[in-house]
Amino acid sequence: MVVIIACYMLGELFYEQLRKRLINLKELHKVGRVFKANIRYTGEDIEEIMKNIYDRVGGEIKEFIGEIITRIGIRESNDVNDLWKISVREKLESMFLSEDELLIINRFGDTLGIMDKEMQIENTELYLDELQIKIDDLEKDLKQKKKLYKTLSIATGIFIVLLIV
Amino acid sequence: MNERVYKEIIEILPRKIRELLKAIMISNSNCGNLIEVRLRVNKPLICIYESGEYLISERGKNVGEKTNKVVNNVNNLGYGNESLYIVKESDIKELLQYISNYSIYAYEREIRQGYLTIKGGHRIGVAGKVITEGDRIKSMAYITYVNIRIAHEIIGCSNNLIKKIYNEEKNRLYNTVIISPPCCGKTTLLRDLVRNISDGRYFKPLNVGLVDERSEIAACYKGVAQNNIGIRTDVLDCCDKVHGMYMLLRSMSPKVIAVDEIGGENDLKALRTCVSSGCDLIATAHGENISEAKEKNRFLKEILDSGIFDRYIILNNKKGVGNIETVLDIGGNIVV
Repeated sequence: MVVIIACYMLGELFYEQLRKRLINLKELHKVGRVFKANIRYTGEDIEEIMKNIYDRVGGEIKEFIGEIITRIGIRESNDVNDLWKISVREKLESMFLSEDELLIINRFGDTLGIMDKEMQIENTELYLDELQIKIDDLEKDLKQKKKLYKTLSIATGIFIVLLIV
Repeated sequence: MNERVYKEIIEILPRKIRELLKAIMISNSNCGNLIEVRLRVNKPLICIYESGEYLISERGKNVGEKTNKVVNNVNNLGYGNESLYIVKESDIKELLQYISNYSIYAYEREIRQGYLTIKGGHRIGVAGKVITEGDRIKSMAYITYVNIRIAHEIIGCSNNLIKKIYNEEKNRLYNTVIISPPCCGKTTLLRDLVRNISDGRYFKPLNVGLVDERSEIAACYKGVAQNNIGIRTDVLDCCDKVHGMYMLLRSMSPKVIAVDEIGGENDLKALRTCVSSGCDLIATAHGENISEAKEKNRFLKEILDSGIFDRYIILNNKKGVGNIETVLDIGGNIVV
């Protein structure tokens, strides 16, 4: 019984990781939306925009944005793209995001601050579109995988019990 | 240089130049206050102090009091035994990242006009390749020349003057114009007059509307005045003075309107509108004196001949910057 429960919990854990990944992706999408709106309507600098974003996002992404704000404040590097990449490495890589997703996020960071307003907006739109595709795929995946993880985990548990017996 | 100003300047400098300036500060160089820092790609770094202009060595020392002494040595990139610090392109790029808070796009307009104002009211002038579209400047690329002008407000420099421009009988200000050649302190004086009027140091305080076309008087950073311009002053930052005067009249109920460098074609009409709306005026204009100012600029001549102004403050730098030569009334008589 314990083995079956343990396997079931493992299945739940894998599902939970996937669910958190989806939440984080949605928050990262919100980052892009707020960024685009601020660039378009206020033209504020990156530090101010990041502070606005910080107030609007939650969970682990809030920590990520907080890191960026801190790094900008202390002028840790002369290149904001570096600050972005370091923060991605330290905060996002442990969030079970896929390599593709991290690539999209890093590519967005590559364009920060070095382009004019219009190009910033266009690049943000590209980031949002690419991320939306990932979110849609993951949402479909999640529905299918929920049942699969439950079934597989219970089946694995029963299999292990049978092996032991 | 006080600690706050030092911090504001140091944090925008490229890291290498930051170390050099820190070394100079630590060595307690007796050059007086730092006024400007000039960066030009592939040229020596120059610091201008109250005492004069100095080149900066790679070891963080002020060398060569007068740059004409080192002209022959510049090609050797040295002065005496000291190697001069030569500004690199990467230094300028790093500086631009810091002054724009990593957001050059957010300062497109400022770069187009050739300067940015940073926290503390310090002005960063930029020059490089200008990109035009028709007859307007679209942008500036390859910024390779930077001039950091450190803000120095002199609080109290108008204290002895304020009573001379106040009409005690009518309980209002005389419409006043400060006339001076460039770099004699007219903007500094205007700023302090605005402060005194706004804070009501010698008479009842008045609401002042300030049109700060070049962001020099209030030196707003993100809309907040970095200089002390009084508690009852409303600022239109980076707004052309004609539109600014009309906007202030419509929206902010000023009792006094302050503008810098009058003498444009449409200024007279705007000034007349202010006066007829019941506002008093404080303005500045370029010129050695009243007659020279009229001679050089026909629009300024029209303004000064119109009789709008009751007081003329003539400034020069004969005895130092901000020397008040005289204060005249509308009849040309000295006001005591």
